[in-house]
Amino acid sequence: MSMVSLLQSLLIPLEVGLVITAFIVTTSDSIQNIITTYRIQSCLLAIVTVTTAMIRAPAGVNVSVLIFFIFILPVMLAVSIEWLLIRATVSAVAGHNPNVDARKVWLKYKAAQRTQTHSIWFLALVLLAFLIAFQVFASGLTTAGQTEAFIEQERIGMMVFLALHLIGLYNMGIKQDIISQVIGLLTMDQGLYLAVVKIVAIPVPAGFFVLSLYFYTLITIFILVFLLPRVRRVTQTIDLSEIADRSSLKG
Amino acid sequence: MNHSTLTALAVMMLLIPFALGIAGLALLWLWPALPGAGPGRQMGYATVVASLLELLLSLVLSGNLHGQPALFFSWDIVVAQVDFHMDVLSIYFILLVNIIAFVVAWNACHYVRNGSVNQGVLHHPVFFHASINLFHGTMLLVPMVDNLIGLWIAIEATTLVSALLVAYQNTRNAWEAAWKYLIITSTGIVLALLGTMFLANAAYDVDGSLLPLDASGQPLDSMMNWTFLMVLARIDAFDASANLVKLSFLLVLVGYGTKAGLAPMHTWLPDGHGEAPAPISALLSGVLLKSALYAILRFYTITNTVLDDGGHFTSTILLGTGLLSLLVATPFILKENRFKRVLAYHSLEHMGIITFGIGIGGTVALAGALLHTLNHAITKSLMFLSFGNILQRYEQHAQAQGRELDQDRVTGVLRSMPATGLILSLGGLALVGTPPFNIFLSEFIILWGTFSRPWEPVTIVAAVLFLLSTTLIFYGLVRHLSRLVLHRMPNEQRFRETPMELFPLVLLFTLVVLSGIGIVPPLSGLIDESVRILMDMP
Repeated sequence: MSMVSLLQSLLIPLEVGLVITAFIVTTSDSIQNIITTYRIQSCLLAIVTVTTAMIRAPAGVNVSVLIFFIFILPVMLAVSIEWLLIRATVSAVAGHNPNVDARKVWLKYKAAQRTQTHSIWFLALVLLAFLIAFQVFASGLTTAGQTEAFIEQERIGMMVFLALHLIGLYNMGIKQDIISQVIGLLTMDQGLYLAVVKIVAIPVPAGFFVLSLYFYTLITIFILVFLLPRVRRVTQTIDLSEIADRSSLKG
Repeated sequence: MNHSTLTALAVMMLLIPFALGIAGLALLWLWPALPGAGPGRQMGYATVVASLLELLLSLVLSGNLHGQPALFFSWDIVVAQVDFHMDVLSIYFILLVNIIAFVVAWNACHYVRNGSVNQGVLHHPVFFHASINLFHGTMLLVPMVDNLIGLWIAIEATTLVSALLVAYQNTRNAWEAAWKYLIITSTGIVLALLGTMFLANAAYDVDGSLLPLDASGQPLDSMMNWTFLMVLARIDAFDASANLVKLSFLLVLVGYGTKAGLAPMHTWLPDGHGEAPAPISALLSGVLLKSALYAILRFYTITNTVLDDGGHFTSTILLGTGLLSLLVATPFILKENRFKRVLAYHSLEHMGIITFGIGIGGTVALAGALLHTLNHAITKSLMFLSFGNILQRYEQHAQAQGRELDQDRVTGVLRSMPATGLILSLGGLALVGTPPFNIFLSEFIILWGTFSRPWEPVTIVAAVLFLLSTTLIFYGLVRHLSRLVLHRMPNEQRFRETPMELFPLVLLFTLVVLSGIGIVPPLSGLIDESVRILMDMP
């Protein structure tokens, strides 16, 4: 078995892992679980990114720098996300441990979730992603010289990034707290990473696409570091329905 | 002027607002305890001078580029090469940005001087002016950049800069609006990037031989230049991926449509425009929405050229989106609401009208849509700036009496501030398409374009819905305006109006009147050539 086919056989379980983690994020009723699962998803994504880039990199082209630039983003988010969300949930108060305080706040949002409904929606969105990947891309993936297995594998990759986008969007719409809503945005972000590697890696992602990833991450970090703590401070809550009830921005 | 001189002027035009914005932020960073009044005023004056220079530069460029080949230049940044391409369509949007940026810069000096907001670095007058400059710079970048990913980055940069400006008043509502604005537009914009990637996939995945490569076999960044993609579209390179191109256009429309405030992705619009300071509302409504529209227009041309279906696919979608925006805006304009929110819903209406015009297609309706883009920018900025001045005076009056201003009590403006009140009334009439003002002219051209089309059931239904909603909206705004300007003020009061604060309003109102009388030759030339670019005609 060649190195490339070995990597290819590794890729599908890893990509399925991304979808499974997205399922847990969607159906979980605990913010702490959602964050932990997101961190696992980020690590999986980093491995998928590197593996895909290694499979696609043509002989003689040095892609290590670009791979590094793409790899480092999900790893950084996996490492820092919990700290960022703790900072967004509670203000630093002398004598208090923000980790403990934030987890107490997160526990309050362990409200009963409609797991069954979310599961059905999740399956519907994955099915939609499947249809788009296998129908729309059917004509666009008949590149000469590529094996049927390679093309199938590409379509699965495309299905996964579309599914991550749709599931992220769904989570942003249904979650009842700001933290989970941001995780929804970050899940869409994961889909974007995978999309860069899967769609435009010709033969490797061009510099501009990598730049766009960094720029989008900058926006996400801006939201996490800057906007989220301020919104929580002025609204005194992370509960979206409470914010909406008290809001005068209506009509 | 020769090509290199024009290129130098274009580079200068792009760099001035960035340089001034970065200088302002650096000043605050180095000296956080900087006093607000003096440096803030000086920064405001510098912004006015810079924006006037920008406006003059864009006039020079538009005069020289008309009928000439487009300007092209490149910059190497760390990981990519950025190509710039300025044709007449770019210049048209640059002109629009610079006109509004100049009057906003002028009004902002007055706004910050009279405003009471000064709570930390983010709410410092220097930060306000510096951010306006950066916002201006990012909006100039949009029509100048050739690379579609660069275009996406430029539009995303406008979000980043403007979100803090929306929250400038540091109230709960302002932060909530900024949060909504950033979350909704960022979510939408991801789809635009995905659409851009699909377009890349459609162009290069079938036949890798079309991919521009450098000597080491790496793809060049120019692979995503819209000018290069247009070349590929003309040689039918996308033919095997027509479905992918359609999907790409849909995603781009949803993505940039979110930023352009098109229904049903418009929900950030009333909060963002309603809570931002008046000069920022003018920039958001007058210019930012059009920047996103510009992005849609570039994809529109590529998609039409690839599909070669006489624009049928894009036309159907844009027509539907335009009508939906019009219909969604109507009940919100008819109901009781705060006036700035009503104006925000008017933006939704007018973006709907512009999209409707593009959807109708053909030279007449496209010309009408482009003209409406400019007319709406001028008229809506006039409305936001004049109402901003009024609101500020009423707020100061309420504060002097030791109470919070209830916006429902902002009435009798014609008596309390006669000049501003008159401009607001006439501007309002212009906004709802009353002759002889500018909006009437562009709406009339769009309708003319509609009736010039073959009479299909869809066209008839679209025209009827268009006329019905614009008539209802006319009634809605006149009702809001009559309460605002004619009803008696509870405690009859007369406020001072200075020539300095009236100057930008008079300037904008003059443009509203002049552009209602007719389209002056340089402008008609720009519009004609822009329409040819949009339709990919020689």
